[in-house]
Amino acid sequence: MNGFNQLMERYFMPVAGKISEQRHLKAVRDGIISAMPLLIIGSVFLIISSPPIESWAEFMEPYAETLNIPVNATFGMLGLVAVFGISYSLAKSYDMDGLSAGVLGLAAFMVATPLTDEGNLPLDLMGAEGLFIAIVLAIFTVEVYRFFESKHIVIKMPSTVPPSVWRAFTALLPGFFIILIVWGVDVILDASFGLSLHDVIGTVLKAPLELIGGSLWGALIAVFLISLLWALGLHGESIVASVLAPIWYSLTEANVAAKQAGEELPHVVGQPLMAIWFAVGGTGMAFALAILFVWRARSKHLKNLGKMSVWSSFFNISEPIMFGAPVVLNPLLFIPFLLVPLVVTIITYTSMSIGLVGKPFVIVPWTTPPPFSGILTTGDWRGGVLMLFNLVVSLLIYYPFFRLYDKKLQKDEKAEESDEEKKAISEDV
Amino acid sequence: MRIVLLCAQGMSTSLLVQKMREASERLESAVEIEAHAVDAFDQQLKTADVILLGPQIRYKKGEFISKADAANVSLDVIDMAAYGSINGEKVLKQALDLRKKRS
Repeated sequence: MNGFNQLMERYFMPVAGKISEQRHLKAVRDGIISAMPLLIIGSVFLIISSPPIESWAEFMEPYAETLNIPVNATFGMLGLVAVFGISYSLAKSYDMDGLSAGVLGLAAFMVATPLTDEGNLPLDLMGAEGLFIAIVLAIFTVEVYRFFESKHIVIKMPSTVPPSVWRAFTALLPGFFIILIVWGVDVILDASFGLSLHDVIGTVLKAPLELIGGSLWGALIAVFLISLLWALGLHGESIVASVLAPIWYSLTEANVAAKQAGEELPHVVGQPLMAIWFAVGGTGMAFALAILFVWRARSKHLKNLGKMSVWSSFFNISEPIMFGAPVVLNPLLFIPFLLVPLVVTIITYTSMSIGLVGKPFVIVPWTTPPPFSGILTTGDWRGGVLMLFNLVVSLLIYYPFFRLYDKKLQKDEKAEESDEEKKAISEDV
Repeated sequence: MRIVLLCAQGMSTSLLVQKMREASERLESAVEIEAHAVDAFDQQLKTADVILLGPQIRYKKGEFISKADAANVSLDVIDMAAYGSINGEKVLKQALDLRKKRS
């Protein structure tokens, strides 16, 4: 086991670190996260307009359209906010002017977006529908901008001009070039194929990614990787999400759009499932472990740890358990820790896809405790029941492994105590 | 002296900060302790004397250490066992020792 750990530490960890540090992935993640407050605020209005209680839902129906205004202005702007946020973050990471890059990215996005027949902005392309093109254009914008800057192809200003003025001017030439290219490509696409950039990115990038990311297999692989990274003591979510977050958000937004339109929700997998459902009490359903520690532990170590960490775990913060038990690099707890999330994923996915429980469409802060998070994300009380059921299953899987580990600790503690006693006696003598 | 703890979102380290403050009161050492998200690294580098990383982001050490050295800030990864048991006193000592080594 030690050999295995060393192997992982030596070869796997640097790779994981590199992925999470990759500049573009990091900018995409940060850019999307900048929309997080909007998504949560939008979700609140969404819950009010489509509440989990049926009689209330009927009562709210006439007001749905009015309530959709704040939903559209927050959740519905994900693509728009993301293109600015990603351009800004990426430019910042190059030590360039973030604001100019954000503004240019926004303009590129608008150039690529076809207006509706009435000449209005198409709301549906501003949201997650436009998320992938937002990513592509943000990266394109900043890279072109950077190329111009690094080759010094910028309008030079005398040194007496204040920085805020010349900074805006340095964005001029690259800005022209970016807009021209995006516009040109868009015009050519439209003239020769009747397509927009949105259509192309949607077919080439979005559809296949969603197909993979939205499937049970996709979810299982993601969940497994997250657990494996955490089992090595690395923050699995932030590493895996740096690649997959755009897919999860766009799947969730599709559900939001369906909910607003009063249609059947298309996706099971999405941001709420990955952030909330498979990590009750923290990754690996750590809340189940915290309960076992408080409730069943006989060793002092686990009992104390349980008392100390059960509340933070209730709010989905599991680091004390991960490093305290420890679960990290612990061959006895390692196995159930990898197994539990997979089982929970299968149970949850199946119950939701056969319609036993509502599909999640609401984004809540990741610190929302169970089973409230389950009810809120799905707008369905049965979501809460399923979440508790998952917890019980997790308890059962963890139990035998926990038992073994607890016994081992108890034995060690006893041995230590008797050692100390012996020492005390010998010192007395 | 200013000690900054960083983890992915600054959540779990804030639990530890509480315990470290209690420990620092007991030890009567005048320190400021804060927890932040790891993205705030560059900003914290300007004011911190010691930066400690949560073990779950220890893969960042390689990237951060040269920046920290250049800014004369001590940097290390929090001891895993101490982190897990939220042992404020031990982590505080780790921070103080780290600083001592540098000066």
